[in-house]
Amino acid sequence: MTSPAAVGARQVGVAPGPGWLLRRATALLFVDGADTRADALIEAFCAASDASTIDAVTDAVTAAAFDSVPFALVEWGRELTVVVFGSLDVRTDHPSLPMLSGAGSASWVERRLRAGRDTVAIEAGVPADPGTDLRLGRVTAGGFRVILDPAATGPSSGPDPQPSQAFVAPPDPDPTIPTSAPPPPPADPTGPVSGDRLAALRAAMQVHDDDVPASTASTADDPIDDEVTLEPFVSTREPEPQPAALADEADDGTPFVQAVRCPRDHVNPTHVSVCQTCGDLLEAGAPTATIRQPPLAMLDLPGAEAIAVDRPMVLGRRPDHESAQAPERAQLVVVADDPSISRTHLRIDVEDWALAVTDCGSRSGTAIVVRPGEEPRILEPWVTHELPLGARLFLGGPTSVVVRPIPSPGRSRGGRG
Amino acid sequence: MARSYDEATLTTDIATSLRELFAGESPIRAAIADWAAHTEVGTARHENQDAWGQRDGTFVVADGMGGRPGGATAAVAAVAAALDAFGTAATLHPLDWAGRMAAVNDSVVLAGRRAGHDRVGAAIAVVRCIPGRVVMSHAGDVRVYRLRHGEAQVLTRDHNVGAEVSSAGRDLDSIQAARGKAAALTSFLGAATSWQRHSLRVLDARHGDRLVVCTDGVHRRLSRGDWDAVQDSTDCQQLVDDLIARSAEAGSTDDRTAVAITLGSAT
Repeated sequence: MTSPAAVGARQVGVAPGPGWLLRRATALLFVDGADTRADALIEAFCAASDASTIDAVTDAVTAAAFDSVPFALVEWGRELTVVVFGSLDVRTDHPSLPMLSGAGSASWVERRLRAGRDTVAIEAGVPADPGTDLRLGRVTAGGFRVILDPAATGPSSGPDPQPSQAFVAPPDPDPTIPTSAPPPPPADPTGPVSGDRLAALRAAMQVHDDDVPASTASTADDPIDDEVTLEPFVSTREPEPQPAALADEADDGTPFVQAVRCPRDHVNPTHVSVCQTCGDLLEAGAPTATIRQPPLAMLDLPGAEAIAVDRPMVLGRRPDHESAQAPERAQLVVVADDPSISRTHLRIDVEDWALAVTDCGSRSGTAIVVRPGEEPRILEPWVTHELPLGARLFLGGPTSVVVRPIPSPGRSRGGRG
Repeated sequence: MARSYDEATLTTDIATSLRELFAGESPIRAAIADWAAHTEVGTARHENQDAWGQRDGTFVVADGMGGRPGGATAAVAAVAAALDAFGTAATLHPLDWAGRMAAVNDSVVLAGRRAGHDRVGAAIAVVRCIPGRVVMSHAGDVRVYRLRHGEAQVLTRDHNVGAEVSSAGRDLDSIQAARGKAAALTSFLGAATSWQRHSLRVLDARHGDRLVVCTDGVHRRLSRGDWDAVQDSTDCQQLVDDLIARSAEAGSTDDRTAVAITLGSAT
């Protein structure tokens, strides 16, 4: 497996505000607050080694019994990790992580992504000043924007220098700046921020309250967003391009399935090693394709009629979708006018490459014989049973239907009923 | 291969179970010829948020959601409650099964609250081997595979956004709201109603079939080639050990759990 390329930080923009932004070689911490709780996080961030800032900061949060200020922590390198705690939204332009919010959570939320070939912009809080760039160190901030770039090189993408040399926590700057005195000229945004220039930079970035734009409202809790995994949502492999024919087909709601094609272009489930149509061997590494659900079987009905099973089906004397709890696209199949058969007797489901059968609470029941010679098994009402090829279903009595494989090309096929 | 059994995992005394298996006293003898389990904490975790358990032929695997502290709590609670609910269940009526799953869900929620977590969640899969049949139920993305005739077929459909969109006949990329959320679960334990979409299915079971129940830390990383390679495992322990090793080798940093069951002649 190819190792993902490392990324570096091309720019770390800063927005003025009462919090703190700290940057190391491969990590940054934004703390949306400036009290003793923030100090604990900052201290942990500064004291950690370059590969353990996340552990250090989250340990500090745990040690504080989750009584912490909102913060965002970004760590980059071979992988990109974003950690958020509290009512703070982190926004990115990565397709797998448009937004990560800690709002409504008692603990931090964490998302890890595999670094790709494209740049990734990550921001939080107040929109950053595009003319600023925090190279290393600490600065007061109300927001940040970091651009991570696989092509970024230089000292910022290398290992941390000794913390004692590059990361000296400056003394708290004097919060009072005489309004009568003109602010000092802004610090050079391209150079590293050191302690003796902190006061000047802070003065240059001092913002009145009414200049601070309203923060982005956090989105309502979405139970789906609760799932946080460490697996990348975006495959590192390019997705199979869909054939033009798929794009032109009318969307009839036919599900998509993953398939592999044999050398003769027959479609097969991804788990098989031999083509189900022609018997050709399928390579283990053959690419998969996304296709519309193909027919999986032929259903032999009483009276020598046969129909292809490529969608859900409801069988009975006078079947209907609602009674069978079947989707509207399900095919209604009138089996026979036999009093032992209920009006809506059973439902056949097509799920990916498998078939299933459910007795719809029929009066006389449904029995299945999976293989010839076996004893019939009564299906529990409304319990879905796997329906293997070759099985025979008895609908309340002697009437039966058989599920058989799709015949190979060249053999006669049954027409659709 | 050394195996690490995290204390968050409900392990059973395998030796005791094997003695019961061959003593002819346990009801599982009629349905199961062999079984084994293997779980490992992921490299990015401090604790294993997977859990598994077995009782009288009922196997349960749970995967605590996300990287929250409550994940392990949810998984352990889910397994314990599911073994109580389904380990001795004699009926298979769907309403009864749903009622028992509701009780499992309640147990997960309650365990989370007692541990001080406001929101917990877990994916789960239950495989119950009864003489003559195998019953399978799941919520989330814990999968059940069947190894038969050299092929490994996944028997469960993941309850996540990607699978739901595909099953509806839509292209995931065409739905902007779903982008980046393909793996987000649509059914899981720990919330008010999300568990209600759990599956329930009776499987076609044959002598010699092998069932594998595994968390996404395993199955996300395995290719068909990996599944082909493990088909010749001499026993279930070698099978699960191999699956865990292969998923780790493929780069999985998540917790990894696999349970394998070989069905006996009574099915």
